[in-house]
Amino acid sequence: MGILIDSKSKVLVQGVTGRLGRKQTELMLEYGTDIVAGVTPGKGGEDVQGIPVYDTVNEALEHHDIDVSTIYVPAPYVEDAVNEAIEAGIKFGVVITDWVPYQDEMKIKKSAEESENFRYIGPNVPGITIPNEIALGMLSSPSVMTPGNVAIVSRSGSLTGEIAEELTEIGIGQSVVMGLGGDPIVGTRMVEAVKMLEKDDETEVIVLVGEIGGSMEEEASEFIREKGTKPVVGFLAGRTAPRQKKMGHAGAIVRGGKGTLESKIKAFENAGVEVAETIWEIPEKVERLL
Amino acid sequence: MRLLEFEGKNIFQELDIPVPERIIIKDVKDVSKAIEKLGLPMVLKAQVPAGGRGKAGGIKFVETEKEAEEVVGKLLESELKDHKVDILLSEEQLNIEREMYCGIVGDDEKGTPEIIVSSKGGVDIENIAEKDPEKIERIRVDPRFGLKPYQARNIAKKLGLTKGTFKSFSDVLFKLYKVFESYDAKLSEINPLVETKNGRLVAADSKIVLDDHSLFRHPKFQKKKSRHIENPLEREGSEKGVNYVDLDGSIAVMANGAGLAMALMDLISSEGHSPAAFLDTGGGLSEQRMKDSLTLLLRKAEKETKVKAILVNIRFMISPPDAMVKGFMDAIEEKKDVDVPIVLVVRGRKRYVEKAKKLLKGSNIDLFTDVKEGVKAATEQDSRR
Repeated sequence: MGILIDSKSKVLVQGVTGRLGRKQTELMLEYGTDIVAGVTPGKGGEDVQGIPVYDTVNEALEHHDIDVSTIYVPAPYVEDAVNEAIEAGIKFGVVITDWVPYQDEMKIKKSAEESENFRYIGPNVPGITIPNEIALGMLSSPSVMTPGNVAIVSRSGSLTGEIAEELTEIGIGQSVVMGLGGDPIVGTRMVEAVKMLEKDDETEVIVLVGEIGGSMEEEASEFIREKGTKPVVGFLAGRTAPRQKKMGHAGAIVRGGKGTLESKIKAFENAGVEVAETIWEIPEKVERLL
Repeated sequence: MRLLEFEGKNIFQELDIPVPERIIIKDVKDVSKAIEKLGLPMVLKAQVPAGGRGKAGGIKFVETEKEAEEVVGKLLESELKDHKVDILLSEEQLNIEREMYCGIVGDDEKGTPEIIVSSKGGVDIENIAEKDPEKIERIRVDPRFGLKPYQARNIAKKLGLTKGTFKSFSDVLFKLYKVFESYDAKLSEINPLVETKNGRLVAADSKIVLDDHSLFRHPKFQKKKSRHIENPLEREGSEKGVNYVDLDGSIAVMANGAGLAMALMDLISSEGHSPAAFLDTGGGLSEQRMKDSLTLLLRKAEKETKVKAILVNIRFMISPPDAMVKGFMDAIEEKKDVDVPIVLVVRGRKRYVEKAKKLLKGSNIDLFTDVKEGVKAATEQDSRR
């Protein structure tokens, strides 16, 4: 089962004719993902790997049922592409593109909040995979993931796959493996992922992979402390990283002391999250909790 | 990227925010021109991308030409807040009645711009928030529509401003939002916003932080992105689009992903060793990117003999390994005199891992498919050498 998507989800690829879009379409199809259509303005009528390409999302919807759109369009066009998906009535978006302008991310976020029935992950996200059912984005290597009951939610793209692979290597499967995105403004925050996983019958243990900076871990911890019922293992990358340069005083006020490693560890611990000090400790901690 | 004060003020002027009379000084010879334009006394301000310049001695008031020349001579070429000073801004001295604050900042958590204003300014807004929170007002605006003039008026009213000041403050704030919007800023701030004795509002300082992801829309600044990075390897990394951070230890660490590279650093630290450099290659495994990345670490090892090993972790997701291997081999060939062992861990998509193993057979690279073994090999090299 997992969350947000399942093996029956019908998938659209926006930016399907670009280098990245083509390559990933091929790999997602190989994984078994049900891609039904692609969109690239001006390339309507072509096909990629046998998948029909349309000029607009609306046009694709005239010919296909679509549940989710994976978005690979170049950064300057992401805002437009996401808004197109929202207005067309798509329910879920996976925004893979990185280097999306900051103010565009704000605008996307606002449009998504306002639409109420649209959710997205990313930008700058590796994707989301329910092992052996569906892979959206870059997490489509069959050898890395295997079905099971551990959910992985990660701010870091590269660590998402690494931690899944480490669990798979010792025979622990995953209910869902998902990135949140490495940018400051993301569509789905850690706490929202945790809330969904709380309701997911397949998920027994949640692994949260955080990083220094931002306040997502603190926010998720607050929910876990008050309402969480499932065991959680937390990891924070960058324990030994040099302090990030601060952006400015106005920024510092908004963040109000959140974002440091100490603040995140404390938040995790107060919420009863098992904190792994290195990635090596994650599999053993998960194993004990299952 | 953070703009210098004078660049910010040029933008303010372009968008009609009142700024002091001013002129740039790059040489002691420029002093007479400045005095001609501004008169005496005047202010001299070192242009470095850092706060707290006043306390650090980077802002001076001068009364005579001789004094001006002395200060200019001393400040130029000096070091302030870790930056070399090569430009000064000279300005008319303002007749200050009071100092206020206005700033616009992107709030990551809520995903909206936040407008922050205060009837008190000139000191860190953090301090005001702590000591005089009642002097601060904030509102959020919809990023799609921006700040409306009536919203600017409402917040000015909340600060208790009246008459002419009310009107000109809301006007400045509205225009400051235009700066934020049209330059794709993450922060635009005037602190202090000075009210002069004759009732004029003037932006006495500027702070603008641009969004690196948006620089393609602002080509004038794109080329300048890396100019204030003082460490040469870090600057080169930034120019080449890879995320390099220079550190002090003995194992240089690199991965295709910031989280992964940080986790590797944490691992070698937990084994009692310390990282010499952090490198996140950023997007994609192209030949050029791989070559540039490894070359940076090889140059670090060339410069500092205390670097005993390079530890690389590459996760294959969608790109096959051919370009990566070619890039690595070129880098090693060009820097073949650098005697440092390279430990490479490859993981991810199985058929790419197998292919990488095949392609790297016979090379000098110490290859692993397990992170633990790779970390062990690198730390052993460090202990041995």
